[in-house]
Amino acid sequence: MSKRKIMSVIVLCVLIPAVVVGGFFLAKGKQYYFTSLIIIGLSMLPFFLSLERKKLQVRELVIMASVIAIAVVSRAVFFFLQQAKPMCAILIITSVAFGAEFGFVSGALTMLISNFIYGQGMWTPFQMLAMAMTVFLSAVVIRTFKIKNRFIVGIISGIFCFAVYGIIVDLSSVFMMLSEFNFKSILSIYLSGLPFNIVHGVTTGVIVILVQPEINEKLDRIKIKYGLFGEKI
Amino acid sequence: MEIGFKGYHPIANLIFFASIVVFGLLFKHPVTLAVCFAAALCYYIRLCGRKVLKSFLLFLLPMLLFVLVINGLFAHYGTTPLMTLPDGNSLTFESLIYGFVLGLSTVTIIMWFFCYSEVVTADKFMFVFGRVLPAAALVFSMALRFIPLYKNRLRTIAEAQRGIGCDYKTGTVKQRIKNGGKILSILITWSLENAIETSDSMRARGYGLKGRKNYGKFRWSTKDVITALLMILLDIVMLVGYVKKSVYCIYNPYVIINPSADFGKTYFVNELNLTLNPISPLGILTLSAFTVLCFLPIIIDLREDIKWNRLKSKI
Amino acid sequence: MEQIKIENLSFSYPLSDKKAIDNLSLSIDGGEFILLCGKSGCGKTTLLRQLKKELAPHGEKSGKIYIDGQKSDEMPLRESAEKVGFVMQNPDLQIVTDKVWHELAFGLENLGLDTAEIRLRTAEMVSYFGINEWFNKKTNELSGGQKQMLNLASVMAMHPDILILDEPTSQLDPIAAENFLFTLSKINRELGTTVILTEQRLEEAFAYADRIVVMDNGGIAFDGTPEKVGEKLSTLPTFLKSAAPTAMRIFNRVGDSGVCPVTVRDGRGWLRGKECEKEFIFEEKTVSEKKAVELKDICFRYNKNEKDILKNLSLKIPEKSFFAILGGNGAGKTTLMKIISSLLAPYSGKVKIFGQKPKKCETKIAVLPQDVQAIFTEKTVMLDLKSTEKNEEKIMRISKQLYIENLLNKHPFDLSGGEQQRAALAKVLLCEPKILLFDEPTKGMDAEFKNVFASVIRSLVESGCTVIMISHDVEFCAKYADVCAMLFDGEISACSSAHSFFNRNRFYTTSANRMTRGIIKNVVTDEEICLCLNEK
Repeated sequence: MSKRKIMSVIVLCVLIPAVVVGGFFLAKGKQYYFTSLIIIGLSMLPFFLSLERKKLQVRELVIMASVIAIAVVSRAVFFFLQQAKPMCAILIITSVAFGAEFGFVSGALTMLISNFIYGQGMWTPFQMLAMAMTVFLSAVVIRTFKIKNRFIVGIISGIFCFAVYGIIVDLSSVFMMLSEFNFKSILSIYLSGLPFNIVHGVTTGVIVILVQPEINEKLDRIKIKYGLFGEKI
Repeated sequence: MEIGFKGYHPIANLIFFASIVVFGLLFKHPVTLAVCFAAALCYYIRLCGRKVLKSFLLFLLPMLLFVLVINGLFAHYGTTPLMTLPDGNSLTFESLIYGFVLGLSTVTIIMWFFCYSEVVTADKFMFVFGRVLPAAALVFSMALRFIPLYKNRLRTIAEAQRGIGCDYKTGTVKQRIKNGGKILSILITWSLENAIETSDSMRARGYGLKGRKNYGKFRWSTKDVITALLMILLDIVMLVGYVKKSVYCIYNPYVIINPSADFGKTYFVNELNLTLNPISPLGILTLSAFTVLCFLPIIIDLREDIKWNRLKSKI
Repeated sequence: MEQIKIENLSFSYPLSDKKAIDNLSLSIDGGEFILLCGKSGCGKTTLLRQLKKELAPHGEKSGKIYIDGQKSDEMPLRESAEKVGFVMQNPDLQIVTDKVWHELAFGLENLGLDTAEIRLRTAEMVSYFGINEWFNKKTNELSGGQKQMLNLASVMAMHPDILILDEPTSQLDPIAAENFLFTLSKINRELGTTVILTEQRLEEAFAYADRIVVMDNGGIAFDGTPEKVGEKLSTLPTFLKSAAPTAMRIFNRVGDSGVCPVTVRDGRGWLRGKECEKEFIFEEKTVSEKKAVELKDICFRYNKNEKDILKNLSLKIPEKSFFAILGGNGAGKTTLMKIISSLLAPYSGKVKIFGQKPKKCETKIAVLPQDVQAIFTEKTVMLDLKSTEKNEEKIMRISKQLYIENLLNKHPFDLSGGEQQRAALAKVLLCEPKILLFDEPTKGMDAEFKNVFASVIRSLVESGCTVIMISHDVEFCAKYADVCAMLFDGEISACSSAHSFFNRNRFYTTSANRMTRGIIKNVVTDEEICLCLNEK
């Protein structure tokens, strides 16, 4: 693991939760939604700043834009699976090939852009962070342990998609809608979102299992042919 | 050219929506809630017309009820029981009211976001964030360009595959996912290969040179500046009002509207443990500032409408 | 004044022992309009890219290129970006942003110009190129011709001294292509910008160019004025014999001497001075009475609230024939093709394939789309072909016919445009269709392969297949098609044998016909002129 990689994992897994918890203690039970917005902004900032500073190759920027656009339009391909949004699957597959940081930024931007098409809401920042973290964590795990078996890759993606994406996105409802946080009220919000999250997780897993090897082969070819995304995570 | 507030400078647009969301969330005063809701609804109707009814009935109203019920059933604060719930806890007046307040403010904010989607187009968004994060903004702009291109491409691919006898619209679900994957993988190869050519075109036009500037075709006009300054002034007034707790309200453990004051008359509703304090001059100022802010886009739009009509009748 | 000077340039790509450019020297003066021609794979693109530092491919290079006396590889990036403009083939791929105004400003943003300067320059471009009407549109709403014009305008906004264009009109329809070339010559004439252009279709480009450079095998085979090309045509690489403008080709086939005609106008003057038959006697070919496709009163629209794309269209396509459907942009050609291949269903009217309803019918209809990339799924051409047909013998036979044997182990996306098209054609042929549909197949095809393509179609038709083609390519249809139909505003406005179809038209017809109108009757193709001339 490179230093950068360790740093970004630490930032994501330790610092952000610490800031979240700290933020809520400071806010003393007020304006949770508000505080969380600031935290989301702060947690995404390092990744976007690194995108600005890193001076990626022009090709890599164009490819990132392509991946985002593919993720957004991919919905039409699986139109027969009503609830399924293959976005998450596509993003995970591409960032396994192109790197976790690539995944974080493209995940966040994908949600931002798809909300420009389907309507912005107070959930936009949460969706951005949720997708970014889901993709980032899946890619880190899969790349670090060099998992090649498509079933395991699919299951990991499905679980992260269900757990990370679901928890973060529904958090926006918790903060907006609840006057008091107790187990039952939070549970009720999460239960109401559960069917959607299960479908989302399962379809993501299934799509990854079915299409990952084929797509991965093509991504690897591009990567080698044009010498892209050399030593990034 | 866009009309009304939509045609204003993106930064003016953003200041408005930022202030509305911030103060809409900070203030929980009944008056601000009502004003904010009414203004959001008016502007939403103004921007989207008939569509509003459908989204209101199918999405916003159920959301309001959902928040109300969840808070009513599961929040156990409050001192004024109204009835006993099946699980032994009691439904309190306070939780019901607070649930309603939260529901209403949630719905209001969502409506403001809908308006935001209409007013702050991707163009404007990029204009503002392109200065802070130029690389991300460029990716954003390119992705917006690619989305319609790839949509067409997907159709082309699907038709081409059908043209050689490979249909993704029929078959078992597994088969269809597989075929869908095939189509996606064609799209991915095709598009990523082409991305290389696009990047060549960018380099040929000097992308990557030092000192790239971000050009936006938006210009500040006098009315933009005046409006922006007005909004900032209103923000300052409201901020002072908020810090000084002039429109302070609590709903837990009992409802108190306005801070306690040594002037005016305080009303109590004993059965509901409700206290209604008189409002201070600063409170009135804050509430008026908030009202002006909420209705600002509608006022701007209506003024322009009236001007137009007058011009038309002259012709 | 010498603006570009290439001295003994050689270049080879990595992993290739053949030199793409071989000891080439060339000098170009400021303000020249140069047409660079050569068959595909002769090194045109490689040479053009060497002139633009940012786009130069990796590989082994020797020799020197000077631009305004400065070595091209020592030129600072900023100067290269400003000085040398480059427009590529595919209009869609060069567009970077989603709005027209932003696209125009993109290069200027990169140069770091201030807002006022960018505003001024875009405004200038908008007026000069006449794009006011679509200035505020999204880039994906433009037509192909508009997109390419936008690409040109956004390059011109950077005020280049040299404009390099690599087959810029190959993806455009004839009218847009003509328009584009005209704009180029306007830029050349009015601003004195040096233009270096490569083209597949030489008919129009020859008329605008001051100087023709013919490349062959990485070297220069000829360098001189268009008229000189005509005089020396017999000694030049063979591809030019089928690619050169009609008048020039005929002049050369007849073996005349003197000043060679370049345009149709010159050709007419030349022809008047010749003795020849006054009429060409043409024997109509007979086509089968049986119909492969019958359309009756077809109406179609994409949305309930839109207007009809096809209006009461009736059409009969004879079996075992080569049928061409011509028509301008937006006439509904592609829609018609989708209806024949039952990708779309009309809301009224009947479609019959060999006398049966399309759903009941088991006849194989295959389609070769315009974007052939859309049909490759596997990682090598061989695997791709195997996914439709297991029999290797058959694959080898067809590969041989289409000259793709040596490409079988390559990745489909590593092939050049023409090669991709051949591989895709092989895949479609492997389906063994009874009816085969082509959507603009000759777009971007070089003149030599057009002949091969025509012979493939011929042998298909002879083996019992019905070939239907949508095209803008008047010359190709006149030469090879059996029956032509004109689609206009959703209706078939004319349908007859190719010969009488083009003979009747005045504008929408071949150059040979335009050249001979009023001089020799009943002529549509080059051969026919030659026949009339040779008999004397």
